[in-house]
Amino acid sequence: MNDLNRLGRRIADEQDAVRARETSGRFRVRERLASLPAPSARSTRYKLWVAAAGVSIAATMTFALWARFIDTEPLRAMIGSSQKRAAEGDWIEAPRVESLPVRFSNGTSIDMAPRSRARLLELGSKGAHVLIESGRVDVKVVRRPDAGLKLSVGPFRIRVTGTRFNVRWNPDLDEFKLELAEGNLEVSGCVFGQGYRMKAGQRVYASCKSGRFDMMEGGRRGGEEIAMQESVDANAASKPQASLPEASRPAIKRKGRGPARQVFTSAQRRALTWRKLAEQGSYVQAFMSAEAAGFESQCAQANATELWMLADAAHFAGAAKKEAHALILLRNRFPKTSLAALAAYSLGRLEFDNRGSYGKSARWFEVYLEEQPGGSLSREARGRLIEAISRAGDVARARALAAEYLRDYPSGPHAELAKNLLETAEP
Amino acid sequence: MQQIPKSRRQQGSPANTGRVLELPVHKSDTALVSELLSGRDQARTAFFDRYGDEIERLLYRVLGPDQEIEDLLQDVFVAAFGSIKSLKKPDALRSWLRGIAVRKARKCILRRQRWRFIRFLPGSDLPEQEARVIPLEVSEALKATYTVLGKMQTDERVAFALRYIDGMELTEVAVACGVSLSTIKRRLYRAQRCFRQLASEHDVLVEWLDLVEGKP
Repeated sequence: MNDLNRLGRRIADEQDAVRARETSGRFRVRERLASLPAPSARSTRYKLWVAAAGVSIAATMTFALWARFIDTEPLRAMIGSSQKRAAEGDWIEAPRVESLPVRFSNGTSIDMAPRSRARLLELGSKGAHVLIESGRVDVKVVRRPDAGLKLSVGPFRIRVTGTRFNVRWNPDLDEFKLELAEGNLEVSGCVFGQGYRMKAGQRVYASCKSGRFDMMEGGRRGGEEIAMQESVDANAASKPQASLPEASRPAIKRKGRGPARQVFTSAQRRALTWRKLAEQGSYVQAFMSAEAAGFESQCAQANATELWMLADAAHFAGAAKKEAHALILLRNRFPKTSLAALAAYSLGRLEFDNRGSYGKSARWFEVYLEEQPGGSLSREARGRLIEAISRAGDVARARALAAEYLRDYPSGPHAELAKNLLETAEP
Repeated sequence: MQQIPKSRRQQGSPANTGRVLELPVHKSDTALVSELLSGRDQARTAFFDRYGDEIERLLYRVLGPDQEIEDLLQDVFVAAFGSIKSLKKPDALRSWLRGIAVRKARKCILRRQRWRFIRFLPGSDLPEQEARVIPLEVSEALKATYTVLGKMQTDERVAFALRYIDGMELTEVAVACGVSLSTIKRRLYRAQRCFRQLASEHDVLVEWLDLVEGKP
């Protein structure tokens, strides 16, 4: 034991002596501790945590109430460049010559092509519900919780949150076309049943009456053309084909197994111009633009949809030969598609109306009926087939077809013609 | 064995009174900790009865005669009740509680030092003992010792008091201060030199110490 230990022991003894005489303080502490309620024994840190949790809960509830208040505000829809506000139930028709934009307050936009018609069914806090009665619309939906959009297109339903697509509906021809550029969506109703999920790059053609739809893959044009070209090679000469120079086919090169890389030439850039005009419904101008770029060369580089649009543009511009060229090219390059069948119908109508070639016209209508016996235009095709065969001089066959037509469509648009044929046959 | 207070022994059996009586707390620290965790009121009292005297003595050793010791004693046990869940080894209850007491004492010393700084007074002009009530019977040696300790670094003062006044082993001092053994050895070496140097100014302490030059 050194000097410090000795001093310390001396100090400790003295302290203990003092403590022995002063025990009241220790007893007071004992009494106070015994009377402490159990929760008060918790640490200050615990209390701070509880207080912080309480503050955060209160802040969360305040934010939720605020968000709920914000959410209750319904969407606003502004029509056209004048930003006229539309209300629920409003019926909207785009002008004949230019498109009409509809902008929603949540960022969603719908561009209605000329002569398109729509109705605002609902403007809620979580999104809008729009009925497309006819025409073509380009839709862009921002990816936000309150940016849901429901589209009713004839008998079809489209539910989207964050995507970009265009949809076209022709109630007279029962044609539904949807092209999805970005995101995902779900289309339902009629042939799609409870729901059919689509992804970016897909396009679908559907007909409710015929009960079928065609789904086409390939958001990239090159990939689609390659697939279609291979299909042409495999199914060549299965249907009547117009003569087409081999050189007019698109020369598509690809490396590896992936789709061909898209490199725009000057002609393709011009193609983008006529396509834009056609999408806006300015078919005559679109045709003139395609002509300026070289109609045949544009056809050679076009995909199925673009060929169909070029044929439309030529039809409205009164260029029957160009229309026929586009339609024949469409059939040769994209056989066994619904567009190819529609092209056959259009060729039949073209031969009948413009050229008076009733025999050829009848053959094209027969092709359409062979390819799509229950297609959306089968009633019209059978009626026009009767008419073409009758005018071609084959009355006996026309009467037989007329009898079948009356049996299936007693009040169809060609029922009167069919009855006349049958009546003239009776003695 | 924990003794049952006389008043409780006179309450009779539960069957006779119809009341529920709490059983006495078990002897081991592990059992005591489990009783504290279960929230029994009797466990808190038993805890204090077991360690109250020791903790009060430790506070005396570190701070000297001080009127705040009663409050600090209560603070130590309140802190222990609140953080008993953080005690990972129930059998280390004693050393854990001593650690709390040392931290409370250290914090008290630092608080006083900060207050002294704010008043712009040199430390030597305001010794801690002058602000406290000291019993009359306290010797001059005790007063001089805590006057010297009051001029030392806080950590060195605490280590010195635990080692030489309370008589703790080096390992116990290290655990109570929350540092390693080598650290506490270095700290104690510095504390010895400082104490000897400062004690040389007090005649009453010179008598107790071998203040030979070069001898720590």
